[in-house]
This record gives sequence, structure tokens and C-alpha cells, in this order.
Amino acid sequence: MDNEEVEFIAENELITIIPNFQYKTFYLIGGDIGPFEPSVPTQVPLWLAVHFRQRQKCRIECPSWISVEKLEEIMNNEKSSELFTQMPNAHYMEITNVLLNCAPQDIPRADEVKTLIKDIWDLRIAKLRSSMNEFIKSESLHAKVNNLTLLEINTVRNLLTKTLKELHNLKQHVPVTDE
Amino acid sequence: MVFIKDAKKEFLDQIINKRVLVFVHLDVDALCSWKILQHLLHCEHILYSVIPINSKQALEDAYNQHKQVANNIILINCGATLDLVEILQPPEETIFYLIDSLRPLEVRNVYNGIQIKIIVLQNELGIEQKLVPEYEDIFDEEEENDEENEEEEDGDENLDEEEPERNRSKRKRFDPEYLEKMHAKREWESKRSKILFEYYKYTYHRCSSSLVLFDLAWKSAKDNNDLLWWSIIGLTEQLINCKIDRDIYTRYVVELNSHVLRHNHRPAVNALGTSNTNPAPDDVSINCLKISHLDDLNMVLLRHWSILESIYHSIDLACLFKMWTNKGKKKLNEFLADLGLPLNECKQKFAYMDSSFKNDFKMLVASENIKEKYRYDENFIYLSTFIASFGYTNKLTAFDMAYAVEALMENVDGEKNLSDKFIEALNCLNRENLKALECGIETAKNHLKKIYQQIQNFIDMNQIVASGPFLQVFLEEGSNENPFFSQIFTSKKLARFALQSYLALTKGKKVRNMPLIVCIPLNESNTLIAGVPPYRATNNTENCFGLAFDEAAEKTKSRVNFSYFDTSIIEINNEDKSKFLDALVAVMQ
Repeated sequence: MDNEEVEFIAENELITIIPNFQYKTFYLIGGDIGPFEPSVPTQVPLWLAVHFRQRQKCRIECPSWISVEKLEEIMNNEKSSELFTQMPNAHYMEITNVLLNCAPQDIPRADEVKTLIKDIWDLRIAKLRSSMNEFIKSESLHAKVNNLTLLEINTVRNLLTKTLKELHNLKQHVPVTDE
Repeated sequence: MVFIKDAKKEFLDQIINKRVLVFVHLDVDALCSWKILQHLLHCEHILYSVIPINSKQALEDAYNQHKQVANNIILINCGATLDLVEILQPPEETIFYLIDSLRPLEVRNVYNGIQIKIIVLQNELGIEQKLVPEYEDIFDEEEENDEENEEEEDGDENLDEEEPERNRSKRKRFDPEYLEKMHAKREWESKRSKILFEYYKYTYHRCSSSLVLFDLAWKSAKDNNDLLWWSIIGLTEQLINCKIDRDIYTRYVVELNSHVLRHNHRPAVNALGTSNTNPAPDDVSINCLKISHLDDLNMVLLRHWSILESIYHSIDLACLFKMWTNKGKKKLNEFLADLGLPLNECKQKFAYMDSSFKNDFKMLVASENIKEKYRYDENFIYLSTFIASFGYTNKLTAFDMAYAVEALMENVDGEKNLSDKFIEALNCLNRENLKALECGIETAKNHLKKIYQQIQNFIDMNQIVASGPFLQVFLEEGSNENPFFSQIFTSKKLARFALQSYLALTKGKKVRNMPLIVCIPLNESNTLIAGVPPYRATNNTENCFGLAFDEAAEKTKSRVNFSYFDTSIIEINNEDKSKFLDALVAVMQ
């Protein structure tokens, strides 16, 4: 699984838009979408929101957690806590990324949001790396981590599984050569 | 009248779910218009093919090659002055949508009604309609019907003997009613030709196509800052190439400024203006395009050049100082000294100049004593324009953009065909593509240098001469730069600059009102002739050469090719050149 696929999954998250056109409900496998009335907020999947936004058929209403105050609070929590804290959305990174690319003008103080999200991401990834390091060094058999998001798991998956496999290989071989 | 009254309903909504074929003329305004139109087409999921063209022949060829593709054809800045139905012979179901800034419109296009629809700025609809002669004055429906009937009759009668035909004409000749009718008809015809002559006398430009399309985008609620920026660039190009004069330009700038303010609205720092310690943080992301109005200095590419070079290559300032003489160069140095700018600062790039000088420069040039000493006013040194910023790059004015894009299109270095240039120039308009822009600006500088050098040559060799009612100047045969100067816009720019510099250096009232033509040898057999109207501070956009060239060519039966949409640029066979020019003198007098 690569990052594009994770983003693809994230694009199914619902987001509120304010359309500027009228259209009846349409029925998709994932669920019904609409109806659309001008300036009546409606929930649609992110991919559809992006599609509409690019064609200037709607304005995206920024999710409440994408705000400088909220994100600062999250970052402070993350800093003070030993463990991973819960993120406002399981796809926080992907969603902000998509929104920042497609509609920066709909996000208040977009540059600060961008920095904050990146800071939070860096904090969590650093935490993840150090805990991985500890985990491997301690040679424990299992560890439990809560509140990781899919993208975060995805970034370490390749490295972690391969490392463990190699370690396992080495461990199996070392005693043989000794004897 | 087939001016479209509601562009959204009668144009955009008509082509939804249909395939369209778009012909784009190779000029900056057309490219900007195309970018705007492209956005609209994307929004509506309309499938399109686009073909860049630069001459009448290219339009015809491209049309014939691609006409099966689509029945809805959009022409941007090309073709409104041609009798399209006559030239292209389209099938009945084909509809042409015309967006063109060139005037006068061909009357047959205006009154076609079915196949040809012309889109103009909605709030100028009335003016545009008034410009075109009344239908009754130029078309005689009865006559057309008569002719048709007669043809039919003729067809029938050809089989019979000629006797009845002769009888009928005899009968007609002595019928007083018939005679009166003939008389009225003759009068009407002379009136008609007079009206048409007045109508076609001058070629000129009206509102830029990009503005027309931006208006459409705005009315369909599809406008954004990018579209606005393109329409600004389109308008700017019109001023650069003297398609419109300063007054009209300023009027449109004011109009566009209201859009700029609407799209770049910032919450007021503090309603009362009382000092809040930290100003309100800019809400909008740095990556968004931001446009603001600015009274900029009237110097070309100043932000990308040094002050000295920028002044050298700005035609207005160069003429003020008479830069082609030694005295002029000294005067420029004196000017810079009066401003308190050290020469070595002026020689380095403006962007790297000491910031204290840079900040003062703009204020100083407009200070009273300087203005008095060098005899110019604020309108001369300042030019109202827009400036855009995005990301962490240099700010860009609309003029920089227009010069860069045009330079890429008029570039003759390297083997590039029309489509390559078209794509390259379009890339340059994309704001993400800074490399193309830089390349464009460098090319623009080169072009300006070449033109400056050529003017210097003209002046040193006294090559600009009056010949009867106009001035003329010839480029030498076999020069390497001729292919460059024979580009449509460059040739005109050269002619305009030559005229302006000649006026700056020559005293005498007579030459003030003279137009100028420039002859550029293309190859062994052909020469390009471009004509520009007399230089005036305002209203210098009406060009009378189109008709004059046509008449002179007809009189001398010269082999003249009106290959471009702009009729004031022609290609002529070298053998016919001298007699053509003689005839031109006679015609113009």
C-alpha cells in the first residue's frame, strides 16, 4: 500500500460544502449524495468536494478542527503526552493536504494551518520512531500503540516489518554459527 | 444584429455537451482569452480542440482540415473582419462564435444571424451596434430577391429563344415607374458605398477579448483571481501594442479594479484605525494569487532590469531624453544625478539595488522640480497597472507578463513552429511555471535591445524619410535580424518606435501628423510592409493603411498578399514594390 492509496481512502471522508447550484439527490454505491440547494450546506465525500470546487460549483466549509486554535491545542497535548493522543480525524494529514492544494482560499490562515499540521505530523513521527527504536532494542515480542493514523502506520510499515524480519533472520542464524 | 445579448445563455449554455473547435490567434490577448475560456470549458466538461493560427491562410487550412471534428467553432481574435461564410463555405449546421477585438466587423458577419454569432462586452452592446451601419442602408432585400428570381427565370428561359427576354427589357426601359425605381436605386447605391467606405476606412481595436470572456465568467459565477489576472494581462497587451489608447485603458483599469478589490478583499486591519500592536494576520495563504492596483513607473521590465537599461528601452523616456544622441545620454546622467542616484547603483539590477535608493526612486521622479526641469507630468512617468504576488517569488506587474508572453511568441531563435510557440507562451501564463516566465522576460529584453539598436541605426543613417504624406523607412536586405523584425507585432512596434523617435528628434509641425510605414525584406521575392498611424498622445489607434494599401494595390495591380488579419501589414512582391509605393503616395494624398 502506498501513500496515494491512503489518500484515495481518505478522499471518501465526508466534508461539508456550500453548493451554488441546484441538483437532485444522486445515488452512489457508497451512499446517497445531495440534494443540492444553493447555499444550503451539504455533506459530500472529499473527492466530490474537490471536483466541485475545481469547477467553482461550491465553497468548502472548513472542518471545525482545521483552525489555528484547535490545532495548537492538539499540538500542545501531543507535546505533553507520552503516548499518542487522539487526532481529530483519522485522516487529518491527507484531508488538510488535499484541501490546502485545492482550496487554500477557503481555509482561514492557511499558511499557519499548514505549518501546524506539519509540526504535529513531525512530532508524532518522531515519537513513533523513538518508540520503534525502544521496541526493537527491548526485544519484546509485541507492543500496543493506540491512536495511530493509517498514513502514519503506512510510513513506517515497510521499514519496521523488514527490520523485524532481518532481525529474526539474524537471530536464527547466529546460534548456528556459534555452535 | 447577431450580437449576443446574454453570453451565458446564448453562448455557453448552447455548447454544453457538444464538442467545440477553437481557433486562437497568436497574440497575448487571444492567449489570455483562451486561458479563461479553457477554464470555463473545463468547468462545464466541454470537449474541445484548440488550434493556434496566425494568418488568414492558416485559418482556412486549419478549418478545412478539422471541420469534421465539431460544428461549434469559436474564433478568438481572428476572423471577425472576414466574410467567414464566403471564405470557409461551412455546412449549414456549423455555428461560429466570434470573439474579436479588431474592428470594423465585416457587415455580413454582423447580419448573418444564423451561423455567425458575435460576442461583445455586454454593457458596450449599444455602442457596438451603433458602429455598424443599419441593415436597410447596406442590404437591399428586394434586390437580392429580384436577382434570385431573375436567375431562376434566366435558367428557364435559356432553353427558349431570346426573344421574350428582349421584349421584356424594352418594356422596362420606357416604363416611368421603372425609371424612377432605377434612379432611387442608384442613389441608394452611392449612399451605400459612401457608408461602407466610412465604415471600413479605419481599422482599430475595441475592448480586449479577454475582458469579454472574463465578463462572461463573472456572470456565470465562475470567475476567480487567476481569470482576473489573465484578463488584466490581455488588456495590458492592448496598450503595449497601441491597440487602445491610454484613456480607454484607464477606463478599463478602473473597471477591473472593482473586480480586483472584490477578489482580494482583506478584512480591515482595524475598523477605527487605532493601533493594534500586531496587525491582523493575512488570512489568505501565501500560495494564493494576490492582485493589487499600483501606479507603477512607466519603465519597461524595471523589476527585472537595471534602471539605466529600463530607461533606455522605454520608448517614452528614450524620446524624452533623445537617447540616440550623445547629448541625450548626458542628459540622462544628469537626470539620475538630480535624483541623487549613483551611477553604479543604476547599472545593477533594480532588485539588488540599495533599498533606500529603491524606495526613494519612485517618489523622486515625481517631485516638482524634477518634473519641471525635464518637462513631463505625472501621467507620463506613472502608469496605472496591477501587480500580482504569489508564493515567495518576486512580484510581477501585468506589463512584465505581457512582454514576456509576447516575446515568447515573437521569438525566431530556434526552429519552433506555431504550436510550440503557442504552448510555450501558454506555459508562461501559468503562474506555477516560473522558468518559462524567466525565459520570456530574458527574451523580451533581447527583443527590446534589438529594436533599440535598429532605431539607433535608423537615426544615425538618417533612414527615416518623408515621402509625400507619410514617412517611410527601409530595412537593409540580407540582415540577420529581418526575420525577427518581420513578426507581426515586432514590425509594428519597430514602426511605432521609429516614428516616435523621429518626432522627438525632428522639429517642424508638418511631420507631427504623418503616419509611417516600414519595409522589411522577407526573402528574395517578398517584402513586408507595416503601417502605423500618426503618433498622438491620445487617440492614436485608428489605422487608415488597410484601405490605402488595398487601393494602391488595386491601382497598380501589384501582387500584394493581405496575409494577416490586421490589414495594415502586407506582403508584397519586390518587383511591384516601387510602383506600389508611388501609388500609395497618390492614394494617401
